[in-house]
Amino acid sequence: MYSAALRLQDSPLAAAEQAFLRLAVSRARTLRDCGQQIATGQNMTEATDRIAGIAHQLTGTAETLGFIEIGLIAEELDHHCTTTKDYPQISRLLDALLDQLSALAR
Amino acid sequence: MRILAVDDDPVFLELLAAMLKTIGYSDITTMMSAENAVRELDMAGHAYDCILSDLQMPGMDGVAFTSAIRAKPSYRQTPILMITAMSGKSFVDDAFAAGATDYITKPLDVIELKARIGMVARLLAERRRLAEFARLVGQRAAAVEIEAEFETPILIPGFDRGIDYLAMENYLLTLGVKRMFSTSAFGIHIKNAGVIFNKASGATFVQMLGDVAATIMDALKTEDVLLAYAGSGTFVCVTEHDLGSNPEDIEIFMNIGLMDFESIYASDRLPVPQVRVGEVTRSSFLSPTKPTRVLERAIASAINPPDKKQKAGRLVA
Repeated sequence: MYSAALRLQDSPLAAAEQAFLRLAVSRARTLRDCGQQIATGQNMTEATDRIAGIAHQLTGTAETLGFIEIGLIAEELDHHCTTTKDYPQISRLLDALLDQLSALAR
Repeated sequence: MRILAVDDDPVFLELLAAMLKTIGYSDITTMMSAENAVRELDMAGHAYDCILSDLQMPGMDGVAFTSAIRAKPSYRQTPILMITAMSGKSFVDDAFAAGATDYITKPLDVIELKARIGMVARLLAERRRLAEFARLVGQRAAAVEIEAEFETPILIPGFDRGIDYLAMENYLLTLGVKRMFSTSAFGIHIKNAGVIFNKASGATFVQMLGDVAATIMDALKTEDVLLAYAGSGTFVCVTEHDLGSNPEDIEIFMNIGLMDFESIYASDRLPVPQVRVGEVTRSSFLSPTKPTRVLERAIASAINPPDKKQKAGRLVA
């Protein structure tokens, strides 16, 4: 995944990739907070909507920028947040997405 | 083309702008909310030619944004392309109902983006052509009729993708041997051009040629085509690229496209133009002739199609 990012350095998409990486940290923080809210049963609807919003945005850009795995997880997460409301699935996918976003920062 | 792009994701806006630049569109203004975009449309000292908008946004979504755009008299016809994730395609119907022109799916694919924006560019060019034509007709309507002789090759006014037939001949004459043999030509004959010519005014006949020219360009999958009107209801195209479709498919596509003009022609009590696409012709290494012979063969094939049973691939000039 990281090699895909490196390949983009000289491409016309480099600025978009930089913006993606820059936002990854704050998005991960928000997702983690929302995940904790769901785990403790607080503001679950609001937290789920915020996760869906971020997942939807990641779905729209991640794959194009070479972050395939993030795009796939985000798409599934968006689906479960907006359609099934399957919280065990949401938590599992959220963890997987957070792992991927954390790997970007390293 | 001046483009306004709206999405709540700054990464997507960067990505979209970068992709648009790679396909030749660099005049792009980006906005992170539909509310700001509406203000931009009101406050900008210029009009935008095309609006790209995310469908699912917090606050004013793409459907409401489209309605707000269409409420502005100066943006009633501006192409609006919705951008939506595959999962959001069910919302596209609402966007069309609100006045959207087309949609693009996320994740972005540069080929799809190019095709959709290319369609917008052709639409805008066609509108400019019609506006120019209306201006010309308006100028001349009082007393001077546009003189169009049936056999005479003419340059279609306001259609910037076409060239003079003479210029096309000159173009072929300037090609070197190698390029000449990689260049192909084919004709498109308007089967009922004579009927339309006899029934219509000169201006209407020329306008009909413009409709057909625009339909030809829509039907061709490559944009690297030179198009000229050779007179007597026949166009000829020259290209160095693969057409992507066979002449029969292009012919079907064109005749379907021309039916879109049916009500316009009906109001003038004219038949809708019907076209026949001839065989693709090339020069031959074995029997070289003058380069313009390719055009003559292409035109002849469109006017008098060879017996289909005897056809075996491309005609050779």
